[in-house]
Amino acid sequence: MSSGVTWSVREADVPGTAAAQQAVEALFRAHAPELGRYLVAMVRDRSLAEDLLQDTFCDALRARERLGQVENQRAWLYGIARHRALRALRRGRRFQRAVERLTGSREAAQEADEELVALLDLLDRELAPDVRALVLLRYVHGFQAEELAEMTGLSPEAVRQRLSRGRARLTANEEER
Amino acid sequence: MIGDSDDAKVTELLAPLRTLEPVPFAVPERAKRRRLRRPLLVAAVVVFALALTGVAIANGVGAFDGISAAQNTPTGADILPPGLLAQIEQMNAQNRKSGVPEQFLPDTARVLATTPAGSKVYGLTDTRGDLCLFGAAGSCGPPLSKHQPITMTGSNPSPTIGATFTTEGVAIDGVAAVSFTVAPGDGKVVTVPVKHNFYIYEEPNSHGVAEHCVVAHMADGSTVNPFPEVPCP
Repeated sequence: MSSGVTWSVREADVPGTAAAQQAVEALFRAHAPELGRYLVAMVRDRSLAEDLLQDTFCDALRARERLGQVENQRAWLYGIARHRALRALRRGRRFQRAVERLTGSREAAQEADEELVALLDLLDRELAPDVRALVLLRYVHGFQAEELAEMTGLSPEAVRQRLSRGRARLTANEEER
Repeated sequence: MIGDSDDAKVTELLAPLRTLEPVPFAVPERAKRRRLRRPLLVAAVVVFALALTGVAIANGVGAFDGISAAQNTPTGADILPPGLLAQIEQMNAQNRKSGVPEQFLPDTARVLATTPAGSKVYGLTDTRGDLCLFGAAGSCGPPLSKHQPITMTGSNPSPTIGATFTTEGVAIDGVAAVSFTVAPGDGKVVTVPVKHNFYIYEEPNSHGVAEHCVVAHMADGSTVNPFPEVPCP
């Protein structure tokens, strides 16, 4: 055993990596609001989304020493958040769909609330969670198919196909209304 | 056929979601509070288990769950060498000084493996109940599970000039092999067998600093992506 042990990768609170931790914190602060919106739209619960945002931060912090190899850091953070959201949905950690949980305040305009709830109902009803994640990332958060491919491990063509199916279901539903 | 007009239609349809109020986020105070709860919970569970079974607290059993190589009763061979013990105590002191509540528990140490070069890899737990490893490099994290069945720690003493890049880790029972690519590198997939809950890969004259596309291959033929937060380029 050599006298010096170099710490890496798996832990958030180990000493000696303050610079890397600060870099992740700064990156995360810059993107936390939009990540939070994405998580709320995915899981439809503000408390759970808040927890998942914290979990996403902790995951990013654990992987901070790999941040240097990540070309698209925004996509990297979204990839972590997507994974967290899908895992939470798989575990069935979904709570009551109260309007105030989606909007953040009971005083929010009722009309806007209803529109958001209807929209989230539509996404929930028409799209499987993995397709919903892709559709939100593409059409609300602006990621391209190539970025989504890198984020998810799918091929760009597979991403396009899923987006196409998702679009078809949403537009068909809109036309029926 | 779906085209640009559908793209625009869906973008417009989903536009109200951009008005969702973001959830609050605080770094690092809130995250630290969340983390503080865990050792307390672990302590409560351990105390309860002690009351029921009389098992010694120093065993730190949970951290080694699923790792047959660590299920032995501690012997003299598991005692940490003085140099490493001093380093761990120094890190504990540093944690106390900087307000980090976690402390390594050296008494829980087990020899998990011996590398081809003869170095021992020790596993131990901390007050959070994490599995911590001390080998060519150190790492700490939650106990292994079927979702994250391996640890992985890479080190290269001189990646700029080129030196031996070592990747090693512990795996739970049932993991037969681990595959990954070395970055930077030629993208070739390396597959390393797991023997007695341990694997090690050494690449001489390497500029490698990290592993990508990590896959744990289970003995039943299934595979697990243990680090989904790290994208596969």
